Order: sequence, then structure tokens, then C-alpha cells
Amino acid sequence: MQNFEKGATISLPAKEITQAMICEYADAADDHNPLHIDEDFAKTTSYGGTIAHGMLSMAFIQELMVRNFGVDYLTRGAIEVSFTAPVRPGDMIETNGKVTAFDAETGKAAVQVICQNQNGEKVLSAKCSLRAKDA
Amino acid sequence: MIMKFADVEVGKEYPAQEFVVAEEGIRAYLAAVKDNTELYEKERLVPPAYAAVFARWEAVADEQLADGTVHAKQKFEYYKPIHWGEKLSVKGVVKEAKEKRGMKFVVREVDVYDSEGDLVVVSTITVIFPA
Repeated sequence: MQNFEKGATISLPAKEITQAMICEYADAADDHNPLHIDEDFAKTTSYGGTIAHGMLSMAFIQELMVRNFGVDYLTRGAIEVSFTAPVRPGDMIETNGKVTAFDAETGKAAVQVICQNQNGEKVLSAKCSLRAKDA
Repeated sequence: MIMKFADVEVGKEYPAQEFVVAEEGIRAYLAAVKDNTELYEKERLVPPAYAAVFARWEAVADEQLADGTVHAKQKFEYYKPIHWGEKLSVKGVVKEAKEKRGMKFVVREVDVYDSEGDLVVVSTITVIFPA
């Protein structure tokens, strides 16, 4: 795992959310809640149309953490996500993180990550962390 | 069975279920989220996000969420890497059920163990039941 300075930023290229992607995710995750895949049903809800699974966008944050912290994240990582706004077909989602704490000796780290759409609206926020080595 | 809020039992523990993290499922998941991180292929490691599949509530309880149920919060804690093909044991417990600001929240925990009996993932899921 590389060392990080407090305040360092990490990010992923923006990903486009399409209905096809949402349906593909529904199959891969075996989650066919009609809110995500049935436009006629989704229109009857307060969302007014289909929205992506929260876990789809959460996967972007996980990708960011593994790309930057590697196997250490799989061994002593944690993530806590709040789904703050719906992600809709047609959205472009940017994933940006900021290292808020890093201890090279213990390996403890904290990263605040936000996913935002093309309008700059926050759709997910996450507190990610790594526990100390041999904790 | 479609779960209603009134039927939720706080403290209820569900018997352990088995889940094999098959390569095919992992590849389909990575394709769906457009994640081509080389580590997974190189080391045959299960992506942490895949816990959304094997640690989801439906994996431990024969309950279906009602249409319109919203996933409000999600927490994962990772303790040990999981390799493709591993057989996992998945157990669930209902931690909390409350009404707040006119919404019905339920918090559930799923604990995942590998074939050696080691804890690998803890998932804490907060959902809002439909009105």
C-alpha cells in the first residue's frame, strides 16, 4: 500500500449510468426491485421514474478504495455509505475521495468519498477507513 | 414471503446459509459495474463490492422486500480477503426497527464466514419500508 498525505485526493473517471447498466446490475446482483427496472412501476412512486440501485454507485467507491489501497482494504477496510439522492439513467457519476487521515506506521487511514452527478449534486457520500495493521 | 414492517422481529436470528462465490457471478458483477481492476483477475480475489450479493438480506432470509423498499444506508466491514470459488457461511440478525419522521426504518446485520470459520465481512443494512 502506498503512503498518502493528509488531504490527498483520489478519484475515478466519471461513469455513465444507463438503464441497460441498471438492468445488467439487477441481473448480476439478483435484485429486481421494480423501482430500478420497471419504468411503469417506478413512475407511480415518488421517484417518478427508475433509479439505479444504491449498491451500483457504492461499487464505484469500492473500486476507488481498492485501486488506491489494494489488498489492505480487503483485509482491514470499512465503508459506510449514505444514499443521499437518486441516481437516474442518463446521469454521469464522478467519484472523488479525500484522505482525511493516514498513519504510515499503523496503516490506519480515513477517506471521505463523494459521488456526484453531472449537475454537481451529491448522490452518495461515504466514510471509508482502514483499521490499523494487526489491530 | 413479502415482509411487512409489523412483522419485523428485532433480535431475530436467521440460520446460516451457504454461498459459493462463483467466478461467473463475479465476472458478471464486475462487468455490470464496469470495474476492470486487475487485482481481482490476477489474484482471483472477490471484489469487496460483491458483498452486496452474498451478504444481502435475501441471502439469509426467505423474505422478499416489498416493491418500493428503499436502501437508505449500507456499511461493510472487511476482515479477510475472499477468493473465487470459496464457500461462505452467511448469517443474519435483525438489529433495529423504528419509525422516524414518518418513515419505517429497519436495520439488519449479516455476518459472513469463510470455510475456515473466519469472519470475512460484516454487512449492516438500513432500509426504509414503503409507506
